[in-house]
Amino acid sequence: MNPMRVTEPPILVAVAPAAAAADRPLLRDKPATALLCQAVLLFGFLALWEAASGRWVRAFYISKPSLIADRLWGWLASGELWHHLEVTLEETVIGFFVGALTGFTAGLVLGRSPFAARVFGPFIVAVNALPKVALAPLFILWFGIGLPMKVLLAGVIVFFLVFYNTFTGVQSVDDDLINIVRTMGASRRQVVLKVIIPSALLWVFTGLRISIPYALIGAVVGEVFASNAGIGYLINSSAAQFDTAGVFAGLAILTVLAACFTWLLGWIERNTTASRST
Amino acid sequence: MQATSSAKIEFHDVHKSFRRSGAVVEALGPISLQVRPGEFVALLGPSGCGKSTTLNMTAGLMRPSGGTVLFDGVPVTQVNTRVGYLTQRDTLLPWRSVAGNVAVPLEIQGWSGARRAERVRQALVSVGLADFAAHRPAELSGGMRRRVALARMLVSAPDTLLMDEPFGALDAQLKMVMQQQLLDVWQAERKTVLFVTHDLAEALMLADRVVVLGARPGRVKAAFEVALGRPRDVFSLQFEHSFVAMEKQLWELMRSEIAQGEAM
Ligand SMILES: Nc1ncnc2c1ncn2[C@@H]1O[C@H](COP(=O)(O)OP(=O)(O)OP(=O)(O)O)[C@@H](O)[C@H]1O
Ligand SMILES: [Mg+2]
Repeated sequence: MNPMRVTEPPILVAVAPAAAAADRPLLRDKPATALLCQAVLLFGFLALWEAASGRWVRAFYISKPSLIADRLWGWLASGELWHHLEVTLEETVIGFFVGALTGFTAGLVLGRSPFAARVFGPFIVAVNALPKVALAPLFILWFGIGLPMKVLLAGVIVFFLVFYNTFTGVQSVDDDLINIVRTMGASRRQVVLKVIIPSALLWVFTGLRISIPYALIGAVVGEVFASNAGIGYLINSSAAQFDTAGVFAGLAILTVLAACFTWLLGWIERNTTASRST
Repeated sequence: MQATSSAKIEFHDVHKSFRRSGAVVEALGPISLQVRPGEFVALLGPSGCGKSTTLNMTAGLMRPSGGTVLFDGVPVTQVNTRVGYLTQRDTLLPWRSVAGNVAVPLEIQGWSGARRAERVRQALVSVGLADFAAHRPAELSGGMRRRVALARMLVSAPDTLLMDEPFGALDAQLKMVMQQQLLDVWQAERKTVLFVTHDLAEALMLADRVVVLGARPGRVKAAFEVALGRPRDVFSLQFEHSFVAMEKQLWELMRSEIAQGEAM
Protein backbone atom coordinates (compact mmCIF):
# COMPACT_ATOMS: atom_id res chain seq x y z
CA MET A 1 0.00 0.00 0.00
CA ASN A 2 1.70 3.08 -1.18
CA PRO A 3 -0.84 5.36 -2.74
CA MET A 4 -0.54 8.98 -3.71
CA ARG A 5 3.17 9.02 -3.17
CA VAL A 6 4.82 11.99 -4.74
CA THR A 7 8.45 11.13 -5.03
CA GLU A 8 10.53 14.22 -4.77
CA PRO A 9 14.27 13.73 -4.93
CA PRO A 10 15.99 15.52 -2.10
CA ILE A 11 17.32 18.85 -3.32
CA LEU A 12 20.69 18.19 -1.83
CA VAL A 13 22.22 15.23 -0.13
CA ALA A 14 21.75 15.49 3.59
CA VAL A 15 23.89 13.77 6.14
CA ALA A 16 22.37 10.44 7.07
CA PRO A 17 21.84 9.62 10.71
CA ALA A 18 24.55 7.37 12.08
CA ALA A 19 23.20 6.61 15.50
CA ALA A 20 24.64 3.13 15.78
CA ALA A 21 28.18 4.15 14.98
CA ALA A 22 28.12 7.17 17.24
CA ASP A 23 27.77 5.37 20.53
CA ARG A 24 30.07 2.49 19.78
CA PRO A 25 33.28 3.00 21.73
CA LEU A 26 36.51 2.59 19.88
CA LEU A 27 37.83 -0.16 22.05
CA ARG A 28 34.70 -1.48 23.60
CA ASP A 29 36.16 -4.27 25.67
CA LYS A 30 39.21 -2.36 26.93
CA PRO A 31 38.12 1.17 27.78
CA ALA A 32 40.81 1.58 30.44
CA THR A 33 43.57 0.56 28.06
CA ALA A 34 42.26 2.93 25.44
CA LEU A 35 42.20 5.77 27.93
CA LEU A 36 45.76 5.03 28.93
CA CYS A 37 46.87 5.01 25.30
CA GLN A 38 45.15 8.33 24.75
CA ALA A 39 46.86 9.89 27.79
CA VAL A 40 50.27 8.60 26.72
CA LEU A 41 49.72 9.91 23.21
CA LEU A 42 48.64 13.33 24.44
CA PHE A 43 51.48 13.79 26.91
CA GLY A 44 54.00 12.35 24.49
CA PHE A 45 52.87 14.87 21.91
CA LEU A 46 53.02 17.78 24.37
CA ALA A 47 56.48 16.72 25.57
CA LEU A 48 57.75 16.44 22.01
CA TRP A 49 56.30 19.86 21.25
CA GLU A 50 57.93 21.37 24.32
CA ALA A 51 61.27 19.82 23.39
CA ALA A 52 61.08 20.77 19.72
CA SER A 53 60.17 24.38 20.33
CA GLY A 54 63.20 26.63 20.10
CA ARG A 55 65.43 23.64 19.45
CA TRP A 56 64.36 22.25 16.07
CA VAL A 57 61.63 24.71 15.16
CA ARG A 58 61.60 28.41 15.88
CA ALA A 59 59.41 29.16 18.91
CA PHE A 60 57.86 32.02 16.97
CA TYR A 61 56.06 29.50 14.78
CA ILE A 62 54.91 26.89 17.21
CA SER A 63 55.30 28.49 20.62
CA LYS A 64 55.42 25.84 23.35
CA PRO A 65 52.90 24.13 25.67
CA SER A 66 54.29 25.70 28.83
CA LEU A 67 53.94 29.18 27.34
CA ILE A 68 50.44 28.44 26.14
CA ALA A 69 49.43 27.15 29.56
CA ASP A 70 50.93 30.30 31.01
CA ARG A 71 48.88 32.46 28.69
CA LEU A 72 45.70 30.51 29.49
CA TRP A 73 46.40 30.93 33.18
CA GLY A 74 46.92 34.65 32.72
CA TRP A 75 43.57 35.04 30.95
CA LEU A 76 41.89 32.93 33.57
CA ALA A 77 43.36 34.90 36.46
CA SER A 78 42.46 38.28 34.97
CA GLY A 79 38.89 37.18 34.24
CA GLU A 80 39.45 38.09 30.57
CA LEU A 81 38.83 34.50 29.51
CA TRP A 82 35.32 34.40 30.95
CA HIS A 83 34.35 37.61 29.31
CA HIS A 84 35.46 36.50 25.85
CA LEU A 85 34.10 33.02 26.36
CA GLU A 86 30.75 34.43 27.32
CA VAL A 87 30.60 36.60 24.20
CA THR A 88 31.47 33.73 21.86
CA LEU A 89 29.10 31.40 23.66
CA GLU A 90 26.26 33.85 23.44
CA GLU A 91 26.73 34.39 19.71
CA THR A 92 27.04 30.68 19.06
CA VAL A 93 24.05 29.64 21.13
CA ILE A 94 21.71 32.34 19.84
CA GLY A 95 22.87 31.77 16.27
CA PHE A 96 22.42 28.05 16.69
CA PHE A 97 18.88 28.33 18.00
CA VAL A 98 17.82 30.90 15.44
CA GLY A 99 19.23 28.80 12.60
CA ALA A 100 17.95 25.51 14.01
CA LEU A 101 14.43 26.76 14.57
CA THR A 102 14.07 28.41 11.17
CA GLY A 103 15.82 25.51 9.41
CA PHE A 104 13.60 22.95 11.11
CA THR A 105 10.43 24.86 10.28
CA ALA A 106 11.42 25.40 6.67
CA GLY A 107 12.44 21.75 6.29
CA LEU A 108 9.14 20.57 7.76
CA VAL A 109 7.01 22.80 5.55
CA LEU A 110 8.90 22.17 2.33
CA GLY A 111 9.29 18.48 3.08
CA ARG A 112 5.53 18.08 3.31
CA SER A 113 4.70 20.24 0.33
CA PRO A 114 6.06 18.92 -2.96
CA PHE A 115 4.85 22.05 -4.71
CA ALA A 116 6.65 24.43 -2.37
CA ALA A 117 9.73 22.24 -2.58
CA ARG A 118 9.65 22.46 -6.36
CA VAL A 119 9.18 26.24 -6.33
CA PHE A 120 11.77 27.10 -3.70
CA GLY A 121 14.18 24.26 -4.40
CA PRO A 122 16.42 25.97 -7.00
CA PHE A 123 16.70 29.15 -4.95
CA ILE A 124 17.67 27.27 -1.86
CA VAL A 125 20.27 25.29 -3.76
CA ALA A 126 21.69 28.50 -5.21
CA VAL A 127 21.92 30.29 -1.88
CA ASN A 128 23.33 27.22 -0.21
CA ALA A 129 26.10 26.97 -2.79
CA LEU A 130 27.34 30.35 -1.64
CA PRO A 131 30.16 30.06 0.95
CA LYS A 132 28.29 31.54 3.90
CA VAL A 133 31.32 33.20 5.50
CA ALA A 134 31.54 35.44 2.44
CA LEU A 135 28.38 37.08 3.74
CA ALA A 136 30.29 38.47 6.73
CA PRO A 137 31.17 41.83 5.13
CA LEU A 138 27.55 42.32 4.11
CA PHE A 139 26.33 41.57 7.61
CA ILE A 140 28.90 44.03 9.00
CA LEU A 141 27.47 46.69 6.71
CA TRP A 142 23.98 45.89 7.95
CA PHE A 143 24.53 45.36 11.64
CA GLY A 144 27.95 46.73 12.52
CA ILE A 145 30.48 44.64 14.43
CA GLY A 146 28.30 43.73 17.42
CA LEU A 147 26.50 40.56 18.39
CA PRO A 148 23.74 40.48 15.70
CA MET A 149 26.23 40.10 12.86
CA LYS A 150 27.82 37.01 14.41
CA VAL A 151 24.44 35.56 15.31
CA LEU A 152 23.31 35.97 11.75
CA LEU A 153 26.46 34.42 10.32
CA ALA A 154 26.21 31.42 12.64
CA GLY A 155 22.45 31.26 12.09
CA VAL A 156 22.68 31.18 8.29
CA ILE A 157 25.13 28.29 8.34
CA VAL A 158 23.09 26.33 10.85
CA PHE A 159 19.88 27.04 8.96
CA PHE A 160 20.99 25.21 5.84
CA LEU A 161 22.38 22.21 7.66
CA VAL A 162 19.27 21.74 9.77
CA PHE A 163 17.02 22.55 6.84
CA TYR A 164 18.44 19.85 4.58
CA ASN A 165 18.38 17.21 7.23
CA THR A 166 14.85 17.99 8.33
CA PHE A 167 13.73 18.16 4.71
CA THR A 168 15.22 14.76 3.91
CA GLY A 169 13.92 13.25 7.14
CA VAL A 170 10.41 14.49 6.49
CA GLN A 171 10.48 13.22 2.92
CA SER A 172 11.64 9.79 3.96
CA VAL A 173 8.74 9.27 6.35
CA ASP A 174 6.98 6.03 5.46
CA ASP A 175 3.72 6.93 3.70
CA ASP A 176 2.10 3.78 5.00
CA LEU A 177 2.53 5.05 8.55
CA ILE A 178 0.93 8.35 7.62
CA ASN A 179 -1.94 6.59 5.88
CA ILE A 180 -2.76 4.21 8.68
CA VAL A 181 -2.87 7.06 11.18
CA ARG A 182 -5.13 8.99 8.81
CA THR A 183 -7.60 6.10 8.73
CA MET A 184 -7.72 6.44 12.51
CA GLY A 185 -9.10 9.94 11.97
CA ALA A 186 -5.94 11.95 12.56
CA SER A 187 -6.02 15.61 11.56
CA ARG A 188 -3.16 17.10 9.57
CA ARG A 189 -1.73 18.49 12.77
CA GLN A 190 -1.92 15.10 14.47
CA VAL A 191 -0.21 13.46 11.53
CA VAL A 192 2.63 15.96 11.81
CA LEU A 193 2.95 15.60 15.56
CA LYS A 194 2.46 11.86 15.86
CA VAL A 195 4.15 10.54 12.73
CA ILE A 196 6.18 13.03 10.73
CA ILE A 197 8.15 14.78 13.45
CA PRO A 198 8.97 11.67 15.52
CA SER A 199 9.91 9.80 12.37
CA ALA A 200 12.15 12.63 11.11
CA LEU A 201 13.65 13.29 14.53
CA LEU A 202 16.71 11.13 14.01
CA TRP A 203 17.52 13.12 10.88
CA VAL A 204 16.84 16.38 12.65
CA PHE A 205 19.15 15.44 15.50
CA THR A 206 21.87 14.53 13.05
CA GLY A 207 21.44 17.94 11.47
CA LEU A 208 21.62 19.63 14.84
CA ARG A 209 24.69 17.71 15.89
CA ILE A 210 26.68 18.40 12.75
CA SER A 211 25.70 22.06 12.86
CA ILE A 212 26.99 22.69 16.38
CA PRO A 213 30.63 23.07 15.34
CA TYR A 214 29.46 25.16 12.39
CA ALA A 215 27.61 27.56 14.68
CA LEU A 216 30.91 28.04 16.45
CA ILE A 217 32.66 28.54 13.11
CA GLY A 218 30.15 31.21 12.14
CA ALA A 219 30.57 33.08 15.40
CA VAL A 220 34.37 32.84 15.43
CA VAL A 221 34.75 33.80 11.77
CA GLY A 222 32.55 36.79 12.48
CA GLU A 223 34.80 37.72 15.39
CA VAL A 224 37.94 37.32 13.37
CA PHE A 225 36.46 39.57 10.68
CA ALA A 226 35.56 42.42 12.96
CA SER A 227 34.92 42.59 16.69
CA ASN A 228 36.17 43.76 20.02
CA ALA A 229 35.38 40.67 22.06
CA GLY A 230 35.14 36.88 21.85
CA ILE A 231 37.59 34.03 21.41
CA GLY A 232 37.97 34.86 17.72
CA TYR A 233 38.93 38.38 18.70
CA LEU A 234 41.41 36.97 21.23
CA ILE A 235 43.06 34.85 18.55
CA ASN A 236 43.08 37.64 16.04
CA SER A 237 44.52 40.25 18.38
CA SER A 238 47.14 37.78 19.67
CA ALA A 239 48.21 37.16 16.09
CA ALA A 240 48.33 40.88 15.42
CA GLN A 241 50.80 41.18 18.29
CA PHE A 242 52.83 38.19 17.02
CA ASP A 243 51.85 36.32 20.18
CA THR A 244 51.87 32.72 18.94
CA ALA A 245 51.18 31.33 22.40
CA GLY A 246 48.04 33.48 22.59
CA VAL A 247 46.86 32.12 19.23
CA PHE A 248 47.34 28.54 20.37
CA ALA A 249 45.67 29.28 23.68
CA GLY A 250 42.65 30.62 21.83
CA LEU A 251 42.55 27.54 19.62
CA ALA A 252 42.73 25.29 22.68
CA ILE A 253 39.75 27.07 24.20
CA LEU A 254 37.79 26.64 20.97
CA THR A 255 38.58 22.93 20.85
CA VAL A 256 37.33 22.41 24.39
CA LEU A 257 34.26 24.48 23.65
CA ALA A 258 33.39 22.49 20.53
CA ALA A 259 33.89 19.19 22.35
CA CYS A 260 31.60 20.35 25.16
CA PHE A 261 28.88 21.24 22.67
CA THR A 262 29.06 17.92 20.89
CA TRP A 263 28.97 16.04 24.15
CA LEU A 264 25.99 18.07 25.29
CA LEU A 265 23.94 17.26 22.23
CA GLY A 266 24.84 13.60 22.45
CA TRP A 267 23.55 13.65 26.01
CA ILE A 268 20.31 15.38 25.03
CA GLU A 269 19.81 12.97 22.15
CA ARG A 270 20.28 9.90 24.32
CA ASN A 271 17.86 11.19 26.89
CA THR A 272 15.13 12.23 24.51
CA THR A 273 15.14 8.98 22.57
CA ALA A 274 14.99 7.05 25.84
CA SER A 275 12.03 9.01 27.17
CA ARG A 276 10.01 8.75 23.97
CA SER A 277 8.61 5.44 25.11
CA THR A 278 4.88 6.06 25.23
CA MET B 1 -26.78 -4.87 -10.20
CA GLN B 2 -28.97 -5.59 -7.23
CA ALA B 3 -30.56 -3.11 -4.85
CA THR B 4 -27.70 -1.48 -3.09
CA SER B 5 -28.96 0.95 -0.51
CA SER B 6 -28.45 -1.53 2.33
CA ALA B 7 -24.84 -2.45 1.57
CA LYS B 8 -21.98 -1.40 3.82
CA ILE B 9 -19.29 -1.60 1.18
CA GLU B 10 -20.05 -1.51 -2.53
CA PHE B 11 -17.81 -1.71 -5.55
CA HIS B 12 -19.42 -0.74 -8.85
CA ASP B 13 -17.34 -1.72 -11.88
CA VAL B 14 -14.23 -0.65 -10.07
CA HIS B 15 -10.93 -1.04 -11.78
CA LYS B 16 -7.49 0.15 -10.83
CA SER B 17 -4.40 0.59 -12.92
CA PHE B 18 -1.00 1.93 -11.96
CA ARG B 19 1.26 3.98 -14.15
CA ARG B 20 4.90 3.04 -13.81
CA SER B 21 7.33 5.06 -15.94
CA GLY B 22 5.00 5.15 -18.93
CA ALA B 23 3.79 1.58 -18.73
CA VAL B 24 0.29 0.98 -17.38
CA VAL B 25 -0.20 -1.99 -15.07
CA GLU B 26 -3.77 -3.21 -14.78
CA ALA B 27 -3.98 -4.20 -11.14
CA LEU B 28 -7.62 -4.94 -10.51
CA GLY B 29 -10.98 -5.47 -12.05
CA PRO B 30 -13.32 -4.24 -13.15
CA ILE B 31 -15.06 -5.79 -10.18
CA SER B 32 -18.42 -5.33 -8.53
CA LEU B 33 -18.89 -6.39 -4.98
CA GLN B 34 -21.32 -5.85 -2.12
CA VAL B 35 -20.71 -6.41 1.54
CA ARG B 36 -23.76 -6.19 3.79
CA PRO B 37 -23.60 -4.62 7.22
CA GLY B 38 -22.41 -7.21 9.70
CA GLU B 39 -21.29 -9.57 6.97
CA PHE B 40 -17.95 -11.32 7.11
CA VAL B 41 -16.48 -11.58 3.62
CA ALA B 42 -13.21 -13.30 2.81
CA LEU B 43 -11.29 -12.24 -0.27
CA LEU B 44 -9.25 -15.01 -1.80
CA GLY B 45 -6.99 -14.84 -4.81
CA PRO B 46 -3.51 -15.31 -6.21
CA SER B 47 -0.67 -12.99 -5.32
CA GLY B 48 -0.79 -9.65 -7.11
CA CYS B 49 -4.45 -9.90 -8.13
CA GLY B 50 -5.40 -6.70 -6.34
CA LYS B 51 -6.65 -7.77 -2.91
CA SER B 52 -4.68 -5.16 -1.01
CA THR B 53 -5.65 -2.62 -3.63
CA THR B 54 -9.30 -3.42 -2.93
CA LEU B 55 -8.81 -2.73 0.77
CA ASN B 56 -6.85 0.45 0.05
CA MET B 57 -9.69 1.78 -2.04
CA THR B 58 -12.22 0.90 0.66
CA ALA B 59 -10.08 2.77 3.18
CA GLY B 60 -9.98 5.75 0.82
CA LEU B 61 -6.21 5.58 0.53
CA MET B 62 -6.40 4.94 -3.21
CA ARG B 63 -8.84 6.20 -5.79
CA PRO B 64 -10.26 3.79 -8.32
CA SER B 65 -9.19 4.41 -11.92
CA GLY B 66 -12.79 3.80 -12.91
CA GLY B 67 -16.10 2.95 -11.27
CA THR B 68 -17.24 3.91 -7.80
CA VAL B 69 -16.55 2.67 -4.30
CA LEU B 70 -19.38 3.34 -1.86
CA PHE B 71 -19.26 3.10 1.88
CA ASP B 72 -22.65 3.28 3.60
CA GLY B 73 -23.99 4.36 0.23
CA VAL B 74 -21.66 7.36 0.00
CA PRO B 75 -18.77 7.49 -2.49
CA VAL B 76 -15.40 7.19 -0.80
CA THR B 77 -13.58 10.33 -1.88
CA GLN B 78 -11.24 10.84 1.05
CA VAL B 79 -9.66 8.78 3.77
CA ASN B 80 -12.31 6.55 5.28
CA THR B 81 -12.03 7.00 9.03
CA ARG B 82 -14.89 4.61 9.76
CA VAL B 83 -12.81 1.53 9.10
CA GLY B 84 -10.17 -0.22 11.13
CA TYR B 85 -7.44 -1.30 8.76
CA LEU B 86 -4.90 -4.01 9.49
CA THR B 87 -2.48 -3.59 6.61
CA GLN B 88 -0.47 -6.33 5.02
CA ARG B 89 2.74 -4.48 5.74
CA ASP B 90 3.84 -3.69 9.24
CA THR B 91 2.66 -0.19 10.10
CA LEU B 92 3.42 0.08 13.80
CA LEU B 93 5.23 3.26 14.77
CA PRO B 94 8.73 1.98 15.51
CA TRP B 95 9.61 4.72 18.00
CA ARG B 96 6.62 3.99 20.19
CA SER B 97 6.25 1.19 22.69
CA VAL B 98 3.66 -1.53 22.17
CA ALA B 99 1.28 0.24 24.56
CA GLY B 100 2.05 3.56 22.88
CA ASN B 101 1.13 2.10 19.51
CA VAL B 102 -2.15 0.67 20.70
CA ALA B 103 -2.94 4.04 22.28
CA VAL B 104 -2.66 5.99 19.01
CA PRO B 105 -6.31 5.70 17.88
CA LEU B 106 -7.50 6.61 21.38
CA GLU B 107 -5.18 9.62 21.52
CA ILE B 108 -6.60 10.78 18.22
CA GLN B 109 -10.12 10.35 19.56
CA GLY B 110 -9.16 12.42 22.59
CA TRP B 111 -9.49 9.80 25.34
CA SER B 112 -8.19 10.95 28.71
CA GLY B 113 -4.93 9.45 29.95
CA ALA B 114 -6.32 7.16 32.63
CA ARG B 115 -9.18 5.75 30.56
CA ARG B 116 -6.82 5.29 27.66
CA ALA B 117 -4.27 3.39 29.71
CA GLU B 118 -6.94 1.04 31.02
CA ARG B 119 -8.38 0.41 27.55
CA VAL B 120 -4.92 -0.22 26.13
CA ARG B 121 -4.17 -2.66 28.91
CA GLN B 122 -7.35 -4.61 28.18
CA ALA B 123 -6.57 -4.68 24.49
CA LEU B 124 -3.08 -6.02 25.13
CA VAL B 125 -4.42 -8.67 27.49
CA SER B 126 -6.86 -9.77 24.80
CA VAL B 127 -4.03 -10.46 22.34
CA GLY B 128 -1.84 -11.99 25.04
CA LEU B 129 0.80 -9.29 25.03
CA ALA B 130 0.22 -7.63 28.41
CA ASP B 131 3.80 -8.40 29.42
CA PHE B 132 5.22 -6.61 26.40
CA ALA B 133 3.51 -3.26 26.87
CA ALA B 134 6.81 -1.40 27.27
CA HIS B 135 8.65 -3.14 24.43
CA ARG B 136 9.40 -1.55 21.09
CA PRO B 137 8.02 -3.19 17.94
CA ALA B 138 11.58 -4.02 16.84
CA GLU B 139 11.95 -6.17 19.93
CA LEU B 140 8.97 -8.35 19.02
CA SER B 141 8.59 -11.26 16.64
CA GLY B 142 6.64 -10.82 13.41
CA GLY B 143 3.64 -12.65 14.85
CA MET B 144 3.69 -10.52 17.99
CA ARG B 145 3.77 -7.35 15.90
CA ARG B 146 0.74 -8.64 14.01
CA ARG B 147 -1.12 -9.06 17.28
CA VAL B 148 -0.17 -5.53 18.38
CA ALA B 149 -1.54 -4.23 15.08
CA LEU B 150 -4.69 -6.26 15.68
CA ALA B 151 -5.08 -4.78 19.17
CA ARG B 152 -4.52 -1.31 17.74
CA MET B 153 -7.23 -1.88 15.15
CA LEU B 154 -9.77 -3.22 17.63
CA VAL B 155 -9.11 -0.76 20.44
CA SER B 156 -11.12 2.04 18.88
CA ALA B 157 -14.01 -0.32 18.05
CA PRO B 158 -14.56 0.59 14.38
CA ASP B 159 -17.70 -0.94 12.90
CA THR B 160 -15.92 -2.15 9.78
CA LEU B 161 -12.69 -4.11 9.72
CA LEU B 162 -10.35 -4.37 6.75
CA MET B 163 -7.85 -7.11 7.40
CA ASP B 164 -5.04 -8.00 5.03
CA GLU B 165 -3.66 -11.44 5.81
CA PRO B 166 -3.71 -10.72 9.51
CA PHE B 167 -2.75 -14.19 10.69
CA GLY B 168 -0.32 -15.24 7.96
CA ALA B 169 2.74 -14.85 10.18
CA LEU B 170 1.38 -16.80 13.12
CA ASP B 171 2.06 -20.42 14.02
CA ALA B 172 -0.83 -22.83 13.53
CA GLN B 173 -1.83 -22.91 17.16
CA LEU B 174 -1.76 -19.18 17.78
CA LYS B 175 -3.47 -18.65 14.45
CA MET B 176 -6.44 -20.63 15.70
CA VAL B 177 -6.55 -18.75 18.97
CA MET B 178 -6.61 -15.46 17.10
CA GLN B 179 -9.15 -16.68 14.58
CA GLN B 180 -11.43 -17.77 17.39
CA GLN B 181 -10.97 -14.42 19.08
CA LEU B 182 -11.89 -12.59 15.92
CA LEU B 183 -14.97 -14.76 15.54
CA ASP B 184 -15.97 -14.00 19.11
CA VAL B 185 -15.58 -10.28 18.55
CA TRP B 186 -17.58 -10.57 15.37
CA GLN B 187 -20.28 -12.67 17.05
CA ALA B 188 -20.65 -10.14 19.85
CA GLU B 189 -20.46 -6.94 17.85
CA ARG B 190 -21.47 -7.95 14.32
CA LYS B 191 -18.85 -5.86 12.63
CA THR B 192 -18.60 -5.80 8.88
CA VAL B 193 -15.38 -7.54 7.90
CA LEU B 194 -13.49 -7.66 4.64
CA PHE B 195 -10.79 -10.21 5.20
CA VAL B 196 -7.97 -10.95 2.75
CA THR B 197 -6.28 -14.30 2.98
CA HIS B 198 -4.34 -16.85 0.98
CA ASP B 199 -5.57 -19.60 3.23
CA LEU B 200 -8.63 -21.34 1.88
CA ALA B 201 -9.50 -23.11 5.12
CA GLU B 202 -9.20 -19.86 7.02
CA ALA B 203 -11.56 -18.16 4.60
CA LEU B 204 -14.20 -20.87 5.09
CA MET B 205 -13.68 -21.02 8.81
CA LEU B 206 -14.34 -17.32 9.34
CA ALA B 207 -16.46 -15.93 6.55
CA ASP B 208 -20.09 -15.87 5.58
CA ARG B 209 -19.05 -15.56 1.97
CA VAL B 210 -15.81 -16.23 0.15
CA VAL B 211 -15.11 -14.09 -2.91
CA VAL B 212 -12.52 -15.58 -5.22
CA LEU B 213 -10.53 -13.29 -7.48
CA GLY B 214 -8.66 -14.44 -10.58
CA ALA B 215 -5.09 -13.67 -11.55
CA ARG B 216 -4.07 -10.04 -12.15
CA PRO B 217 -5.97 -7.95 -13.04
CA GLY B 218 -8.26 -9.59 -10.50
CA ARG B 219 -11.92 -10.10 -11.29
CA VAL B 220 -14.52 -11.89 -9.24
CA LYS B 221 -14.26 -15.49 -10.43
CA ALA B 222 -16.65 -16.97 -7.93
CA ALA B 223 -18.57 -16.16 -4.80
CA PHE B 224 -19.09 -18.97 -2.37
CA GLU B 225 -21.70 -18.83 0.39
CA VAL B 226 -20.37 -20.59 3.47
CA ALA B 227 -23.26 -22.63 4.79
CA LEU B 228 -21.86 -23.19 8.25
CA GLY B 229 -23.78 -22.28 11.38
CA ARG B 230 -22.84 -19.65 13.89
CA PRO B 231 -21.34 -19.29 16.37
CA ARG B 232 -18.41 -21.30 15.11
CA ASP B 233 -15.63 -23.04 16.92
CA VAL B 234 -12.49 -23.19 14.83
CA PHE B 235 -10.95 -26.02 16.84
CA SER B 236 -13.72 -28.50 16.22
CA LEU B 237 -14.84 -27.11 12.90
CA GLN B 238 -11.73 -28.19 11.06
CA PHE B 239 -12.52 -31.86 11.62
CA GLU B 240 -16.21 -31.72 10.81
CA HIS B 241 -17.33 -33.52 7.72
CA SER B 242 -19.39 -30.62 6.46
CA PHE B 243 -16.35 -28.37 6.68
CA VAL B 244 -14.02 -30.80 4.97
CA ALA B 245 -16.57 -31.37 2.22
CA MET B 246 -16.95 -27.66 1.76
CA GLU B 247 -13.22 -27.17 1.56
CA LYS B 248 -13.04 -29.77 -1.18
CA GLN B 249 -15.92 -28.12 -2.98
CA LEU B 250 -14.20 -24.72 -2.87
CA TRP B 251 -10.93 -26.19 -4.11
CA GLU B 252 -12.71 -27.72 -7.06
CA LEU B 253 -14.50 -24.50 -7.81
CA MET B 254 -11.23 -22.63 -7.77
CA ARG B 255 -9.44 -25.19 -9.86
CA SER B 256 -11.99 -24.84 -12.58
CA GLU B 257 -12.15 -21.06 -12.31
CA ILE B 258 -8.47 -20.35 -12.15
CA ALA B 259 -7.14 -22.60 -14.81
CA GLN B 260 -3.70 -21.03 -14.74
CA GLY B 261 -3.06 -22.58 -11.35
CA GLU B 262 -1.51 -19.44 -9.96
CA ALA B 263 0.30 -19.86 -6.66
CA MET B 264 -2.14 -19.43 -3.83
N1 LIG C 1 1.46 1.65 -5.35
C1 LIG C 1 1.55 0.87 -6.43
N2 LIG C 1 2.19 1.28 -7.54
C2 LIG C 1 2.28 0.51 -8.62
N3 LIG C 1 1.75 -0.71 -8.71
C3 LIG C 1 1.10 -1.20 -7.65
C4 LIG C 1 0.96 -0.44 -6.45
N4 LIG C 1 0.27 -1.19 -5.57
C5 LIG C 1 -0.01 -2.34 -6.18
N5 LIG C 1 0.48 -2.36 -7.44
C6 LIG C 1 0.33 -3.44 -8.41
O1 LIG C 1 -1.02 -3.83 -8.39
C7 LIG C 1 -1.15 -5.22 -8.43
C8 LIG C 1 -2.00 -5.67 -7.29
O2 LIG C 1 -1.36 -5.38 -6.08
P1 LIG C 1 -1.95 -5.80 -4.67
O3 LIG C 1 -1.00 -5.35 -3.65
O4 LIG C 1 -3.33 -5.31 -4.54
O5 LIG C 1 -1.94 -7.39 -4.78
P2 LIG C 1 -2.42 -8.47 -3.71
O6 LIG C 1 -3.56 -9.20 -4.29
O7 LIG C 1 -2.63 -7.82 -2.40
O8 LIG C 1 -1.18 -9.44 -3.67
P3 LIG C 1 -0.56 -10.22 -2.43
O9 LIG C 1 -1.43 -11.38 -2.16
O10 LIG C 1 0.79 -10.66 -2.91
O11 LIG C 1 -0.48 -9.26 -1.30
C9 LIG C 1 0.25 -5.79 -8.40
O12 LIG C 1 0.56 -6.25 -9.67
C10 LIG C 1 1.13 -4.64 -8.04
O13 LIG C 1 2.32 -4.69 -8.77
MG1 LIG D 1 -1.66 -7.82 -0.70
